Amino acid sequence: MKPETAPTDDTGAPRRRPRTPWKSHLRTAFWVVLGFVVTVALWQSIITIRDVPNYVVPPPGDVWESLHSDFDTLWSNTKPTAIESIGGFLIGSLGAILLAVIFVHSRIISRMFLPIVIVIRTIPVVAIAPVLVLMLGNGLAPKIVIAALISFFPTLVNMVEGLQSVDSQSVELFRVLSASKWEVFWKLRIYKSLPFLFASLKIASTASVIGAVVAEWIGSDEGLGALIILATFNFRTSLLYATMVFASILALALFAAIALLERLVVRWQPE
Amino acid sequence: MVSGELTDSRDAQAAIEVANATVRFDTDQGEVIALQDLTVEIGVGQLATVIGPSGCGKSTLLRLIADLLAPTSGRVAVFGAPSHHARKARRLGFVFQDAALLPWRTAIRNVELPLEVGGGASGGRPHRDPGELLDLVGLDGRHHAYPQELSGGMRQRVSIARALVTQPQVLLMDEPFGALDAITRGRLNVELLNIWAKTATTIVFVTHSIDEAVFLGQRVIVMSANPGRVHCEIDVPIGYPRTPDLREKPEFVAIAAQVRKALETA
Repeated sequence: MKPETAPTDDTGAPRRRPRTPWKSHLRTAFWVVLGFVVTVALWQSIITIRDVPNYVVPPPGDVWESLHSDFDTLWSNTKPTAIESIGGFLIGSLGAILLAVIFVHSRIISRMFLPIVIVIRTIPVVAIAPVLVLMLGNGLAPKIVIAALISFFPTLVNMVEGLQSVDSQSVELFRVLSASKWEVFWKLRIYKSLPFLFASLKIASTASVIGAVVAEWIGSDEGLGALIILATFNFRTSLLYATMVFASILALALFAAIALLERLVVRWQPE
Repeated sequence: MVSGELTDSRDAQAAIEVANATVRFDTDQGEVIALQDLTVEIGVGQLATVIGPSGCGKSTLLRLIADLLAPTSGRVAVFGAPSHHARKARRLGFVFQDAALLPWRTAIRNVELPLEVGGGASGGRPHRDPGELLDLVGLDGRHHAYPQELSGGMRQRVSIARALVTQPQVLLMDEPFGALDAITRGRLNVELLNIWAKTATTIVFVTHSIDEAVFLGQRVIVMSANPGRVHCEIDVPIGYPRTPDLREKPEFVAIAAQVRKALETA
């Protein structure tokens, strides 16, 4: 006998996704804010107790101060990094999706090129970056390429897995209906892959910011990466920390945008 | 139209003919004989149920008829033609064990799927209105619900509506109510008989419930395992419409006992 796993009420009330009440959101927000406050308080108290010099770890107040006074510098340097990471993210993800589709449809191409892809994947970005700067110069191009590379791999792997994640019953269903390969792709595989795709896009969105910042370290006079180098060498530690905050906000904004898109696109509950 | 008459006369003979069919699978543990030299014939408009121990090849038999599997040897014909003709002509409907609905489609969009793929509703192919079908299976008012918002029984109703939308002449059902509770199952059994009466479809219904097999079928095909073959066929000479209280009637109990004995010796 099969275990009785299916819901048994045949006439019962519809089972919608439970709506989280705003009160519960508020409660969650409260604990998040409290956690933040406790962390900042710990940070301040350790500096005070251990008498850490400001150029090693700045007190939270100094970072806050820098966020205000250096806002123009921070903002103007955020723009190129944002362009590089978003551009790289879009190019890398689109490339990965296309290649995943090709890999899933042609076993020969997959066998030929998947090993090369995996080898490239094992090279650390920090090692590739100088090569690309040599090849593409000091402009936006090498940064975009590095951000694209770093977004590319998680999306490729997940998309291939997602496109192949079709269950045997669905395959049989489409076969009974005499559906073409094309129809199986557009009406089944694409949808099955979407939850996988979004999971990797969320990873790639934050990774692309890392890629852009690392690329800026190698050779650049603008961008958050360049600002990090500049602030470090000038012992402007508060500015360094403020830059980190901006980099983090940029990554979070990209992540939130993808999460929002996912909510709009994946309206069903994946199994 | 000689050829047309020929087809018609064959229609009158049998909807499904499986002759000396053997299905072998090559697995890591060696060769597995799923079906051996199986012969079965189901007439047009008949409702036959198939029962047997697990591993007897009940599902394999359905997949053979649906052209989801090819026999290693032997012959499978649906309305006198090879089964892939029937599949391509949309003469077959298949209802899966766990509904197999697409979770990103609402109930009505799931029922519409067969009209969108494989040539769909083009070329004047006969089809039924998806909305009416959902009403027929008792899902009025829930057309735009997503599968995860429906109970197991409701999902299986949607999948039956989906199988019926192409107006198939043959409906193949693979333990469709196996995962449902007894009450829902009993209710859906009665409704399936209503649908059968309204659509005059030939139905092959696989189950592992003796009660269900006898309640639904005009004929119970009892299979035995290792290798899978037909053990015996038991007629159920009880008229329709059948109602749930039939289960307490002595003739029902007698046939159920007969099936149970056949299964024990299978």
